[in-house]
Amino acid sequence: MNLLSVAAKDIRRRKRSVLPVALGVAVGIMAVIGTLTVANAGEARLRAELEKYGPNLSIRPATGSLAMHMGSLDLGAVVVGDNYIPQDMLPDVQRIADNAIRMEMGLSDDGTIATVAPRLYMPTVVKDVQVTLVGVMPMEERAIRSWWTFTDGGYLEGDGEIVAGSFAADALGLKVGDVVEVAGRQFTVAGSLKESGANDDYLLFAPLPTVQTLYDREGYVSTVDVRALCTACPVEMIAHSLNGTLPGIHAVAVRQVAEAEMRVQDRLRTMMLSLAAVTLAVGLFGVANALSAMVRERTKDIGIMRAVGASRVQIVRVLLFEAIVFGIVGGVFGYLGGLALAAVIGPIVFDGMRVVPVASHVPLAIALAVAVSLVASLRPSLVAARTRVADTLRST
Amino acid sequence: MLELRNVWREYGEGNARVVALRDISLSVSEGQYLAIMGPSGSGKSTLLNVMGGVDRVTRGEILFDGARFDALDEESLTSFRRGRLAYVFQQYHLLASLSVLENVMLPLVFSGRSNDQAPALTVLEKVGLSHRMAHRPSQLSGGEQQRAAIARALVGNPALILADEPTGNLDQTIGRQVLGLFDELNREGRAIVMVTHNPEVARRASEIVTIADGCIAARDRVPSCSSENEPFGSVEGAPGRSRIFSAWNGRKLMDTTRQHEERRKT
Repeated sequence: MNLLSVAAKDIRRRKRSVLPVALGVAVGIMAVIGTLTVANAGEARLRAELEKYGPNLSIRPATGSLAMHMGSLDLGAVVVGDNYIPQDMLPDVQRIADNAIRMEMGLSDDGTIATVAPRLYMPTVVKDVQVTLVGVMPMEERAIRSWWTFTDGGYLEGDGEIVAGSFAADALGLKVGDVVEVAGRQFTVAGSLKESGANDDYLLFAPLPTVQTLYDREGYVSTVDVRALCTACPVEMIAHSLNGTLPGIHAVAVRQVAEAEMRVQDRLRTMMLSLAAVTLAVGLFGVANALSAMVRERTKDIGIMRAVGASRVQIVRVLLFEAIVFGIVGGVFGYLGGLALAAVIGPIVFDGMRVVPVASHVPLAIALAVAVSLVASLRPSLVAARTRVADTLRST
Repeated sequence: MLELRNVWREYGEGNARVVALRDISLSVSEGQYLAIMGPSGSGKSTLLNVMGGVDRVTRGEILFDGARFDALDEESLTSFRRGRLAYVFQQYHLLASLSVLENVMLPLVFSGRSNDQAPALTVLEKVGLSHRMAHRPSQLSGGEQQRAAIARALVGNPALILADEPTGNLDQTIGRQVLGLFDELNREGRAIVMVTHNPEVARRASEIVTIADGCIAARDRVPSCSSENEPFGSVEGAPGRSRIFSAWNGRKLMDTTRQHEERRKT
């Protein structure tokens, strides 16, 4: 027998007194885990929403320009370098982006992670109106611009089809099913995009190989957008790797989007953690009260132990050990309760949210519960240990 | 062995001040059997608590084997008490969650000898409770619980046992058995200080100190004579003293207390 078994046997005997304490701890932890689980799921959902905002990375040809002046007369600019990116560079872009993401996020799979969407911009005239025809890879483009919706029709399916941006469709009077001649070739209008406020509203889109053939630009693209499909992706690092490895291109991280994403996430997390802290503090008071009551109930036992030779430190140890047991029990039940709570309130907060248990929440719940129990029991334990033996025994 | 010098114990302050012990000087020598008597509220239990170091003195000194322990801090006092003195209470005060053996082992656990069961088994055998050591206190009779409490007091092999009305909750027959156990411990050389309000119990001691209103009202050496017919005198090797003494002592207590009260009033 030792001090711990003295405490353990006492807990077993006092099941009814112990229950409110463990329950108090469990309720506090349930609130915290419930909040964190909802926050976690909400964050994942937000991340998915944010993915729709556009590419993380934009690659352009590494051209330079030199402004020419004669006195106050502007003579234009001399462009230095190629205006196109060789298409055979795209596998390298894919590989470099994937490797950087794997390294940063500790992934080991060798599948494709980033989406690489090239575009070829060619000026053209349709129905006597100057517009820009953009060659795109339909699947990749759709993945990267997932917010595209159509007022009419649908997406590119064959190489003889075009999709018109909302203003382009209006300006050219295009309707789904119309046949229109572009650069000497007949195209069928497959769909018109809903207004998005972006440049896409003014463009016409056709399959990349078709546009390349039409304008004799096989093997070249104008820009490449890269979407890493993760919120905390190392876009700066990917851009740096691309610029250092591939000649003739200039990769730019779309910082604003990434930073905005991070700010929104940070605020969400801070708000959720603040709520969790408040619930934990409320739980702490409840547990402290229940523990105080339980320690008062044990005054006689504490007096007996002191009378037969227990030091104050040993009494505090026995009581704190009991608090640790309450913490572990309360932590486990609090975790399970938290998941149940998240399943109930999660879908109310975030429409269609799915509760996903987070493994790291188990040790967190137990550690928090033990900490709460210890903090709550510290004062009553010290008070109990300081009580004079003669008083405790006289009062019983 | 134990010496109290001009000990005062006061509770509260101002108008609420209560003097529980007034200028008590008393000594307990090795192997002595001392009974403390007095009416309820006279300060008997307070005196016992002060002697055992579970209550603090307001003034005065307490020495054990020449060393002052009243001025020690709580932790040092706890260490000091271990193995030197032990308590037996009227209410037994066993922990309900532990078995008899575990209760007896408690002093060993607190003194860092958790794995040393042998002394506990020995004292349980001594008090005749070996067959009940796995039982909980609630499964024992009052006499058995008090014997378990005595075993717990003995396990640390103390030189002095302080007993606060140890037969107060027991019927006469069981009380006799328990008192016989104290007599035996005294014969082994342990000093015993026993608080009681029962003259029949007190007359087993070699000296009786009568407390009234916090003062020592009388100190009497008990006449050494015996009778086999007296209620508490004939069991388990009790030294036995006369029934006449028993009656004498009861009258003396009342007289002494009355005289003391009259002196205080005047």
